[in-house]
Amino acid sequence: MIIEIGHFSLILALILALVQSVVPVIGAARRDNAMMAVAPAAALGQMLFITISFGALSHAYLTSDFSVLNVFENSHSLKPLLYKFSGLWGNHEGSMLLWVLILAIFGGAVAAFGGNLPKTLKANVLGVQGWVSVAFLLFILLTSNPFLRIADNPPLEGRDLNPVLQDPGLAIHPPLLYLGYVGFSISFAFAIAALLEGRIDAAWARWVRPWALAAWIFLTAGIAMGSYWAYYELGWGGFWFWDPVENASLMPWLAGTALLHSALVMEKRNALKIWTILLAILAFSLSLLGTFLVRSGVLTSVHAFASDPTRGVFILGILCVFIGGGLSLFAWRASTLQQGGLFAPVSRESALVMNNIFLTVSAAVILFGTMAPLLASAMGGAISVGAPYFNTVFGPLFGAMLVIMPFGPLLAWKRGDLRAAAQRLWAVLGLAILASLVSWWLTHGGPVMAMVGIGVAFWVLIGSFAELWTRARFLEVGVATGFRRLSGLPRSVFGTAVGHAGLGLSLLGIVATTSFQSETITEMKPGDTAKVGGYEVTFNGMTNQAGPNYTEMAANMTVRENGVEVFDLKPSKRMFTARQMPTTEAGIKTHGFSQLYITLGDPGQGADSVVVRMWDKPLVTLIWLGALVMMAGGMLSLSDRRLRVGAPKPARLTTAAGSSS
Amino acid sequence: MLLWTIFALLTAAAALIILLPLMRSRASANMDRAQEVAIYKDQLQELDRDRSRGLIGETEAEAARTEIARRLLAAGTATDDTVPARRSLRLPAAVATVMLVPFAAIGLYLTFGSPDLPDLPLSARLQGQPTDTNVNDMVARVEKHLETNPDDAEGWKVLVPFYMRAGRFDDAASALSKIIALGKATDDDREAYGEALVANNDGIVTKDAQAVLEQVVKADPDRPKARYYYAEGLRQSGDNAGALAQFDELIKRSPADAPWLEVVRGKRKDVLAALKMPADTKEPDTLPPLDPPEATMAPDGKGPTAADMQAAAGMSAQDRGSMIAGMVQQLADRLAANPKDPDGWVKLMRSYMVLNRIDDAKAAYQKARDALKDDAATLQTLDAAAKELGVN
Amino acid sequence: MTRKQRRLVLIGVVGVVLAAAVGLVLFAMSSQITLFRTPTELVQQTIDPSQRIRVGGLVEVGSVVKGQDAAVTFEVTDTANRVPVTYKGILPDLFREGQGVVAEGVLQNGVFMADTVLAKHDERYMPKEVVESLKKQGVWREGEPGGPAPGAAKP
Repeated sequence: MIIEIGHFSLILALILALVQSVVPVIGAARRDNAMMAVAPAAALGQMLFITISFGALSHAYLTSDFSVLNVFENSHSLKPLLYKFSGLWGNHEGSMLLWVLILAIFGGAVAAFGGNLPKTLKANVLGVQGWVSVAFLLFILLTSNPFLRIADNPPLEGRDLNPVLQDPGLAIHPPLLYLGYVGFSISFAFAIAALLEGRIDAAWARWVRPWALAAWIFLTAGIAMGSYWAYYELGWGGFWFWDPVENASLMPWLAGTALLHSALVMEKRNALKIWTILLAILAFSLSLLGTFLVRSGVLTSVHAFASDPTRGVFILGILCVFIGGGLSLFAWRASTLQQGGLFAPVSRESALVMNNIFLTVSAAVILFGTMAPLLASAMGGAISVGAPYFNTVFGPLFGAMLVIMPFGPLLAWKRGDLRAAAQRLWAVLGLAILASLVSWWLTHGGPVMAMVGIGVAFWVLIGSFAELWTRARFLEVGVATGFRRLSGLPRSVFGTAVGHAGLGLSLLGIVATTSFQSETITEMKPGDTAKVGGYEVTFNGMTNQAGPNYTEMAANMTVRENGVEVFDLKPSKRMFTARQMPTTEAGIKTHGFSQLYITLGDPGQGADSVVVRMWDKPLVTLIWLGALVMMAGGMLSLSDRRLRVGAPKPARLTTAAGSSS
Repeated sequence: MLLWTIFALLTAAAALIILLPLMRSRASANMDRAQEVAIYKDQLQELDRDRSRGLIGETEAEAARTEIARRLLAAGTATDDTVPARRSLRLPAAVATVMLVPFAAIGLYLTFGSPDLPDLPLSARLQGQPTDTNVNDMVARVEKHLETNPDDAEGWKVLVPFYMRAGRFDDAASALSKIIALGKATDDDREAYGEALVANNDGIVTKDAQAVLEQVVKADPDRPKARYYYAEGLRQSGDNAGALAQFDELIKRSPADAPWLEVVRGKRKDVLAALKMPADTKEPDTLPPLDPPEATMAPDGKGPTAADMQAAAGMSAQDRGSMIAGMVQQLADRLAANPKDPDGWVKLMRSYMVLNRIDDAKAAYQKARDALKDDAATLQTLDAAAKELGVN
Repeated sequence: MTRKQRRLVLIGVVGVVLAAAVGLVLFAMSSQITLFRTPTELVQQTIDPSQRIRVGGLVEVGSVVKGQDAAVTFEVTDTANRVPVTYKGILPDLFREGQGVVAEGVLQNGVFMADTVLAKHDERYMPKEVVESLKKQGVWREGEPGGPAPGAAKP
């Protein structure tokens, strides 16, 4: 019965979404308060019903109700509880339900916290949210319904127990990613609403930016999490494979990052309005495109779900309507928007425009590379575009952007002084070159490109704090006054510095790992010692042990540095009995920011011998720590009081704003 | 009934969610400009802060101040752009809602939903029966037993149907290969082995599979399933002429109304095309059709046909469930008509046990005992089998 | 500067970045694209030894030979032709004889020197290119093991 209530609730949610997508929009056009008031009510109702629906399906998963086809196909009674639950979104149907749940939560959040939005804008935004909801709820009900039942003799055991997917990282990775993807639907809805109304309030950017920022933080988290999962679980030692799924998440991230920056210009200076609108549409379009190209099985990916032609057609329809419709509306209405403020070619605005150009062009080349195999197969060829292409094309573009990045925050609005900014950055440049020379000395003369990479990483890392340094003027006013000056700065200044520094950290990790990692593949028998990086690894022998639903062959490794025992590692191979499926559990030891990473291969030729692959990966953890720092920067910006001055209660606000300065 | 009451309540809630704001009478909106004014004022203050921090030059700040002031002025003096009152659409919207919500909801639900099906959480289903008879436990027990006694061919045979049913074709194949290695394999087992290998390779007939299938076809020419996969294997390895011969042989050995003929003919067409032979190349005559009631059964009454199995593999799990149930029913019907078949009874009991229909298994056991009560020796084997299956 | 001049500067900058991007893409497309080939194509065509290639097919049963120090050789087949592959490193967990595989590397003197070997991620997944090429060979049938749609099997 609970299942059927869930199914019925999903249908009710569709109907509420339908109402939400029509009535408030008409109401906004006719300035009818009552009709506009339907929007928040319907959005909250929709959230309620989808939550019920999601709860019902979760219940079916947790109780292993195999009379539900979706549960039968994707769960198993022996799964640990957490993975029974996360199995819900480990498959196409369930993940779509999670998608609409998050969409509904975002819609509900706008409804609940959007009290200070102009009424028509709010009605239109929720109306557009409603369109997206309708499309996806219909998609679920018509082609991917997770509530279909097995009427006769439901099986007693489910089908899926894929051990690779039984991992806490993978349990929370998709929801985070979806929070990011779907979060951009809010900026999309704002953009479309602005185009519908033909005008953009000053409130617009203040409203869009926090949502875009929140979505961006989640997307950053999702990407970093996915990358780390692939790194430690797949046992290939890589952190980024340029797989279509990864590209699908990187493209909206790039567009979303561009959106954050252009929305900043719009919010502070009322410039770049049209461009910001376009980016808001693009960021969501790329989210849709990426998700669904992969979902529909059009592109080869290790994450692809079984494809289904009807789904493909439906998805194509949704993409056409939202991307095509959004862009057409943009082409038609954009000219009606007011011109924004003026700025000189050298100014903070221009720097942000440069950032936008590089980010969108980077997204475009990735899009091209991801789609190229598809285009080629349409023309009868078969190519695959892998890491070499992406590194060649994305590297220089992103690198160029990083080089100009520290200038941005040092330039004044409207008209900046490039020379003054450059003077302040001389010291940073010196430090960066020093860092690169030190690393050259430490690694006894590494490759030139690695030196350049290290230099750029430090340039970004130190340059991020140049603005804070110049604001504080420690050298002139002393440390105490300097800190007092710093504490007077708005949080968004710190957010910028921290966010940019995070990018520098990630870059440092990427350069150090790819340039300086050492790798050893060898066959070892008990007692053998192999060298990797600065370590000697001794293989002591294998132990067999049994886990809850697998048997495990673990290798006991002792790691020594200059003959001194430093730690033990136990890489293993597990065999999951139910599926007869082996997995590799890498042995990973973090020391400082670096990691020693060992995986086991097949048994070797000799008795008791085994093939071992070892990496010493210097500073590898910085890649993900950098992402965490970026997120922290985003959160600092999000907490800036400015973003809350959307005017909750106009009267109270003016006094509050007046008194705080 | 409870379910429909809950549905009614949910529907009413959904309708109310929309109706309440529509019905609450409120004045027509006049555009709220105060918020905008507040934001511009805040921007001015922020500009001053930026200026004092040197984030913007004096002349530029002045220019920006003018820009913002202009907008502020425009917002402050904006005429109230309330649209002149038109006839409100509220009532039509309310009426449409009242109509739409229940009818669309029920309509859609009746299309997609399964209101008659209760929840079937696994624990409750298992509680209903003694735990030692549930399939998982049984399989686990047999697997444990086989870990220590890997030479027990009968044990492996017990597992095979379960593995096949659960889609664990690799397990089924390895179990069958052990049975074959033990020298206890019947043609049934070899045929199943070939099928499991093919299924495990997503329809590709590997060399191992082909060898086994060939052996089966040679030993017993009347095995449509084995012959079908064998022919398919020839086709895949490029031996189209050989495949054609096998497909023709298969047609020749099939009753005219055999359900698999359509599939075979389709494959035959592919082969003809590959051989560049006309698509209407004459095919051999089939056997005469079986009588309608029997036609749904395999020609030898032994079990599912190749086409049935093919269909089963491609079917949704739901259809497959009902197909399996249907096959078991056929077996039961056959035994009702011809009860002197101890092997058939054992097979029926096992089927019921695998499907977890314990009561049916018990009833079948009872019926079998009644039917075979004259034959003491057979009765003894029957009892032993029932005990092994856990029927009593 | 007037608004128009500013716009020209902007367009100029965009043009430069775009041109650079297009240049990079063209360069990468000409030299750093991996072609997908089937074993039959590798046998029949002459291939530049510097060209990176992905070859996909099934691992020939009985062809996997493990050598010294994690070296391994095997053959990839599309059932019509076979290509010998050498690889040094750890094979993926789901690398099995008779299963789908994709190897990436270069072809030298008829031997494929792979530096990457990918196998099915889970048992339901088969690399799309492999499916396509097997379809071309007529080996692959639509759907799961069952072959034709279920309805077709019923009279």
